[in-house]
Amino acid sequence: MVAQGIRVRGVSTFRLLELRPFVDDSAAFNTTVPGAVDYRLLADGRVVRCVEGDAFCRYKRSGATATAIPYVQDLQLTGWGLGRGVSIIADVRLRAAMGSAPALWPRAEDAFDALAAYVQLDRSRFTARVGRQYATSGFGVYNFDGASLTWRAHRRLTAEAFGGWSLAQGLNESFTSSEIAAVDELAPDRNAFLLGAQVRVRPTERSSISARYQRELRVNRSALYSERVALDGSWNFGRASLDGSFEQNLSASVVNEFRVRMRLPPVAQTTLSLEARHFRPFFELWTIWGAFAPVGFDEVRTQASWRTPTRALSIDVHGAYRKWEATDAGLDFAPLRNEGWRLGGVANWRVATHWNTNASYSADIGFGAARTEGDVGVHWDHGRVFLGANVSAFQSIYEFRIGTGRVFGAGVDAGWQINPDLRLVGDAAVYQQRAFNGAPSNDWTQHRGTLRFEWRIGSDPGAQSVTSAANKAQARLRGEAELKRVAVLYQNRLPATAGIPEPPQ
Amino acid sequence: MRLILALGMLLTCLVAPARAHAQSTAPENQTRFPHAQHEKLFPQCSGCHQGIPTGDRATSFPDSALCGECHNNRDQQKVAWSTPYHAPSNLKFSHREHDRQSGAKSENCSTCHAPRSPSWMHVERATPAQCRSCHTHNAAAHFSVDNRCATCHLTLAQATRLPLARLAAFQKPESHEKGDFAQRHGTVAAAAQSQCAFCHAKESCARCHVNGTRVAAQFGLLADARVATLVAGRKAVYVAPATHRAAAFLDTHGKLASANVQSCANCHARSSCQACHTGTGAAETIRQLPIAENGSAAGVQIIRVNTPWNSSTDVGAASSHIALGPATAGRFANDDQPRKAQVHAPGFARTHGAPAASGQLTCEGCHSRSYCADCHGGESKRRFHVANFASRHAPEAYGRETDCQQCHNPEVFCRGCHIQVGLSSTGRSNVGFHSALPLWVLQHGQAARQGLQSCTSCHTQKDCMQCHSQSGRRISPHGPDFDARRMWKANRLTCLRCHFKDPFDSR
Repeated sequence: MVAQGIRVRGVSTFRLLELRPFVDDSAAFNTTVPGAVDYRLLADGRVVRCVEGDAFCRYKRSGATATAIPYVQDLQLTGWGLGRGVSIIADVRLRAAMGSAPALWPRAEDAFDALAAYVQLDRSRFTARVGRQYATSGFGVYNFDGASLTWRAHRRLTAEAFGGWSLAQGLNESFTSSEIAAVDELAPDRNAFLLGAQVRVRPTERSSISARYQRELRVNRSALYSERVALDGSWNFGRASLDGSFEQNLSASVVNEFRVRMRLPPVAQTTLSLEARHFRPFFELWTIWGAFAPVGFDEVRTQASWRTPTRALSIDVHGAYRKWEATDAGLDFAPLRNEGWRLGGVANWRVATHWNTNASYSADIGFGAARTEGDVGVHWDHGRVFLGANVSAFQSIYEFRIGTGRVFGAGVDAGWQINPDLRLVGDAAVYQQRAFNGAPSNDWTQHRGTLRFEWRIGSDPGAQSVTSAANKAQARLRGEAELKRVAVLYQNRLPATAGIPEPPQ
Repeated sequence: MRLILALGMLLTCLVAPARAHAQSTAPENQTRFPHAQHEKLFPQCSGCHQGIPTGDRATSFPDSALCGECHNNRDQQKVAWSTPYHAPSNLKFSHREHDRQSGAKSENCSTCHAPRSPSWMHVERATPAQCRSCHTHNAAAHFSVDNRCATCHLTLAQATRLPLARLAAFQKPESHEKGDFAQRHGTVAAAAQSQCAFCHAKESCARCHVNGTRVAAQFGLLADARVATLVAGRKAVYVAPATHRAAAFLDTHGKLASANVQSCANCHARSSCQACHTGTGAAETIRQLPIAENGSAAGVQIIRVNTPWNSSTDVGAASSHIALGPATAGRFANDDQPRKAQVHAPGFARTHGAPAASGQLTCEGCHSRSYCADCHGGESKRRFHVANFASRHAPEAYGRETDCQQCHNPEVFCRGCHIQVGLSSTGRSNVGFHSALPLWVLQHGQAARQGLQSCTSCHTQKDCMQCHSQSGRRISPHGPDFDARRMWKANRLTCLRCHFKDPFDSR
């Protein structure tokens, strides 16, 4: 048995949210006026829904300001020393909320959530995990209750098999949890098994390919919830790179995503990347949405980045165009938009050693909604302390609810590394909606704030402890005495370097 | 600049012997004998310096009694005279040894001590140039790198009596002043390592080199308290080697390190790597680096910089895994300041998917899987979206620049929030939300197929089943490429939510 130890990392986050939820309202028909097309307006310009023959027209408006002050406590615990390569890992989340409308924060009523809790056996050739654990792959990140075995068969070949009880992605709860039932009357009545395997191969030092197959099977094995395969690859050649992803929903025979991105070698501090993508949404089979034949879109995207040799100034610009597939639905004579484009740029300028400024602008004009926005910020970073201020302005255009809203905001943020194990970060902002036009829209006038404590207790095992010590020393912008103290720590915990070094190169 | 100074210490000593020699017989408080004033009294050098050719110290200089024969206050005013004090130096010249090895005769004193004067007894100290005129006469100057120090000088280890003040006064060779000396001093030292020991000691190397003890040993340098005093408090200086300035260095540094990690050890301790390699990745290579030993330099200090909060607006290409900043030609800016290493390049948050999933990035070398959940967990601990994204997110949701459901559960997260803010459907069609489009009922099919995920963030299945089911208005939602049989085979329970019976049963 090796020495036992434990490390706890916590993130305590307090937030302040303000919103003005929509409320239904009505107005007498004779108080409305005809709009530009076939709709009617209130005297202040808001669009109303009038059904022929009704005495009242209906509309939505922003209600009273609701405030939520959620508190989220994340705890990550790692314990070791239970045997060679054996460790326990737990990742839990606690929630509480105050304010006039605490439920504004997602899942605020769910006081406790176990994101992960598993035992791990890690050896040079394999890693085994049992318990609630994360799966990370081309499908994203999700967790499940079960077991996984990763086998490093060769330096260039890794295989993984996993299985257990499935949990809904992004939810950390079973399919039959009250969380889903609360928002959908047709929630699943049975959980699902998750089974799958993944292989990763590195054909060369600079290329890699992975393939993952997984299926979610209703626990009584009467139906599938999903059956998918994902392929991902990456290849660096010279100073260029090529990567791509492919996801297919086997149960519906639909390609959900196909993406190829090429980054061309930088020339004179300039980098260019090109990307082509096909996207079609994925729906699990316990919903009926997949039967509604959603269509996908094809998108091309390009991006150029330029930096000065010293990286004091950098400018990135990007643009993208997407077009949806034919839907075979809607009205031929009054089609909705079926294309969209994005354009944007970001500039960062290191004005002085500790001063950075940035500015960005982007426009996203598309189906369903559109937005243009600009942000400007200045940041002072002096190691243990940083301060920043920013202003923003954005204009949202609601295609399905004709109208425009303009919001201006200003905020500050700051951080303080109090000691190597405690960091305090916060921000506050105020937003003012300055204009409405047309359709019902939220009044986004609001205050926002965040206060976050990041803290650690305990040290890391083995090499990790060295890391911790090094980070601590670095965080203090160490003096020589501190370095010597760290050096002693190194010497006590790790074997000294063998061999005589090569001459300086 | 500091690096040059540091490494310049290696050859600083090459200049010093001349001054050291000049001072060796003339302490500050001692009056030198005025030879020229006595030119008519002494016809031969050996009259006073008889012992010099033989090395007999007793007869190398005259006794004060000899002066008193004339300076007796009768013939001449009395003078105070004492035998010259030989201050400790690093000069190893001996007239007797010189004569023995060269076959020359030291009786011919004027060759070295009056080479430029035709007058008798107009003598001066021998200069390094006179030594060099015979020895290493091809060397351009006293401090040329092709000069051989050992001919005339002792190493620091041998010159144990050389006082600190004299060592501190050693001149720096011109070669050390050149701008690129710090970069190439290793090569110079390797080519002429015997030279270094005349001015430098282990502490000279250890001031900058993490593996200073080993480097010093390789060049035969020993510990020296005088040098330790001189370098104490002087900051280490580091120069970026040519390999580090290559654009692809950050992608290839692992391979370079694996091939010759001991070269890294000249400037980097383990902590340099561990600023970024926080997990088990590259552990074997990192373990071969030295620790920051007592008495050695700490090495290049690197501080990891977290990805900016507004990473989603930072669209920089992200094929480069690591970005080190800022480096100018040959030298990192602010040599005494820790370098900041941005582990992931700007824009990495958007582009890391395929490299991470394929295994190109060895994420688990630095991160546990729960680290991914910091962002992908739906209630991120890091800020992925721009500030006030809740107010701005509609275009992203429709356009799916990133797939929302990779992090958020669309039913619970999206619909749950929309319920709270009054955006969710209440099952009624006359509430006015889509009322801006009077033909919405007829148009919504196109909207739904193009942005069904957005629809489901407000509408439940039952909302749609009011029309699109056998229990409703029996309007088929299926598109032309809908594979009904595959759906039936995969999950007939879903089909039976809208269909009363097996849709393929013709009975």
